[in-house]
Amino acid sequence: MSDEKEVVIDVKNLSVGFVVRGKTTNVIRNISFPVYRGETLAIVGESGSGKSVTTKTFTGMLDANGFISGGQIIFSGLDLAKFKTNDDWLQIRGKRIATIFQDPMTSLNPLLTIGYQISEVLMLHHGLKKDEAKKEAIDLLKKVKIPNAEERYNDYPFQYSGGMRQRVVIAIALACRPEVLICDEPTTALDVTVQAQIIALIKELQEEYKWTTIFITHDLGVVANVADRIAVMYAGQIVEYGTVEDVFYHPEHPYTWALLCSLPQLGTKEEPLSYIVGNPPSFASEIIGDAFAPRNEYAMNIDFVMEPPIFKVSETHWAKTWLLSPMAPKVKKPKLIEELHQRMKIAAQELKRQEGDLDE
Amino acid sequence: MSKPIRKSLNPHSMEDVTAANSKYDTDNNGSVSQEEISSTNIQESVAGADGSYDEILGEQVNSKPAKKVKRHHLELDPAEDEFEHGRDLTRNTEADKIVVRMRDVRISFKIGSLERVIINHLNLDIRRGEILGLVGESGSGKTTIGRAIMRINKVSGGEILYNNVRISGKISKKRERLLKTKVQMIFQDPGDSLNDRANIDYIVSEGLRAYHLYTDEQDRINKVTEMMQRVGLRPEYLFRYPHEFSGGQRQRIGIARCMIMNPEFIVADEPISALDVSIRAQVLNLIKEFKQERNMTVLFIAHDLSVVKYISDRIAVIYAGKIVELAPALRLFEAPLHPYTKSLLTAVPIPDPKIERKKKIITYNPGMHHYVLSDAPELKEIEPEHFVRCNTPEFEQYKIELKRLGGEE
Repeated sequence: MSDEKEVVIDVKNLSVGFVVRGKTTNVIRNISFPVYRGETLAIVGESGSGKSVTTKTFTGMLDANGFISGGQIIFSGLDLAKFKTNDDWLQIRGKRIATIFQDPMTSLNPLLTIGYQISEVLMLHHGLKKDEAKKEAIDLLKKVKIPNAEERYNDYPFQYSGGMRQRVVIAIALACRPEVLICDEPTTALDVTVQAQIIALIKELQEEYKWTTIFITHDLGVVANVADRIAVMYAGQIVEYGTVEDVFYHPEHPYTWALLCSLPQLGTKEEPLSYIVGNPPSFASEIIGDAFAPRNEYAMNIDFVMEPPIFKVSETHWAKTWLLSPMAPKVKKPKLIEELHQRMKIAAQELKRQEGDLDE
Repeated sequence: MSKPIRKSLNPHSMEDVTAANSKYDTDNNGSVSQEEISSTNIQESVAGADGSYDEILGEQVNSKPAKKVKRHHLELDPAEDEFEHGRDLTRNTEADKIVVRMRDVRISFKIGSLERVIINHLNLDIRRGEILGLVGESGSGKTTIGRAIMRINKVSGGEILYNNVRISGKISKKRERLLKTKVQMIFQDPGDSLNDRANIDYIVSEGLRAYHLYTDEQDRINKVTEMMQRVGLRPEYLFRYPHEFSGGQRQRIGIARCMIMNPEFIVADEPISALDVSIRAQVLNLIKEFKQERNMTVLFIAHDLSVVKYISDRIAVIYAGKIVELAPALRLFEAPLHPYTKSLLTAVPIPDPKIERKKKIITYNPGMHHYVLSDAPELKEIEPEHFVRCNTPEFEQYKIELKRLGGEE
């Protein structure tokens, strides 16, 4: 299956460093992964694991003190890691790779009308005239399901609710017909009901426009909904990569286990929720061995000494843990992981029944 | 404490002492001689006065402990006395089982001359020792309710009772002070709710200091250290500043600051919404542990039903300032009746690809009810403990639905 898929962005041995008070820290440590055309790749991890930094390198939006210290990002024959000037990036950023950010209030200009902010993009990138742009912008607003689009064209961002603003940001991203859409935690600031609507909208539009989505989130529930493939990130490395079924039903890395176990949806009244002890490592000092080892109850001696290589589980699935080494002792996965699907089924059953009820 | 100042103040203090003595004389029909009262009563009169006198008599009498004792035994009027002894577990009448009772509460905000009513005719009882989950979308007024109990938002109609004493509207300073030692809040954003300029020691012990809930400095430090360990932070963190901590740690500091007051009632306003998934579980566990250990009552505000299901005993679903459904937590999941509750349930993301992809989202349309004035909707008890907002035809319809779900217990 993976052979037939075309790779849109191929990340090879990418490393990103930041200069902080004269010291260089490596925040992304030698990662490689493909992004397939037309699919949705979800990047999952705790805050500070480097999810956002990774995707920022695709559009040249690293902070001033950040730099790519090695590796390649191949996008339609170009190596984005070599891009330096703003002129280079103008051909890519926004036009071919667009980003939707977490907080729609900060990504919109509060002093300009919604309509102007959309038509501006159309005039700039497509060279449309003002009234053409307006017509197109209203169409876009309708596409993202803003009611009374004509009237709301002249409204300002503060007159829109959080969910509506996020819709507007999606409309702006749509204006350029990007090949790749990066969604950087687009629903974290929103309510569950609105979140569900926005996700449905992104999926719907993706089907229509056939773009590729890179979805950054820490919410595994959202991931299960949108993703075709998942990359689990921890301390600047991808520790597990596979299709959504691989990662949810046959997770191999202890960090993925821990993440799945800590979901509140799994909680029952009797037992406390399980959680990951300790904190993610700081990048200030060099990380030796497996970065997750100090928090990992399955850690072996080797984890503290040597960084695990990538072990292939199947054609589409790999994980970076010594547990997969042929020499490692066989470990039993946590009970919760084995039962995950069963538990989820139970949790979903009640909801399912309700859906059935409403159909009648 | 320089000598000249003390001298200049001395006559003043002497005056006060004599005044106190004469008062003592009249009380006891002059039977006590001046010598007998000299030491002890000076102490008391000083303790009763402002702190400024401490300095003056600091060397002669060790007034500090006496002062503490005094503050703790403030005379209470009957209403306050009731309020104070609400914790008395020997009494257990129906009324005592309810910590917070909201009656016909109305909350509105004024923007210029415009008045916007956010909450109207809200009736809600929070029972002793329960965790009540309050769920709704942003703008539904759930935070406003929590803040009204905290007296941050003013109530423009109806009343809120705490242990059967009114705490809304104008209340005496004494009552407000007492209330604030019993009711605490955990905020949503652990970054914004902590003072950037204060170290953790100051932040955590601010409440202790404000209400003098410690005997001496050592006691205060012990209490703070103990609480830090309790929430899983190292005592050496005490002299760090909030920006040095991660989001989860900051939220634990927020919980420590709240729990150190040993509150009876907590308003937890979306305490985990701003946290990472891996940390949410820790914070939820912590709140639950504290609740079990101290038998507190918690109002847990959230927008995500999956979180509330795990932690709460009862759940109230709120839409546009009105409670639309109220039921025991598990029952609400088994038999949701109101269409808004159903739409909330479908929105909960389930971390399982096969299930999640099949889900259909139900959007709630408030216009679907066709309510008429003659048959206005209200919160009706459809089965024991399970309330739904509906009018008469809807009530009948929900009854049938409930039967089909195999409901009636």
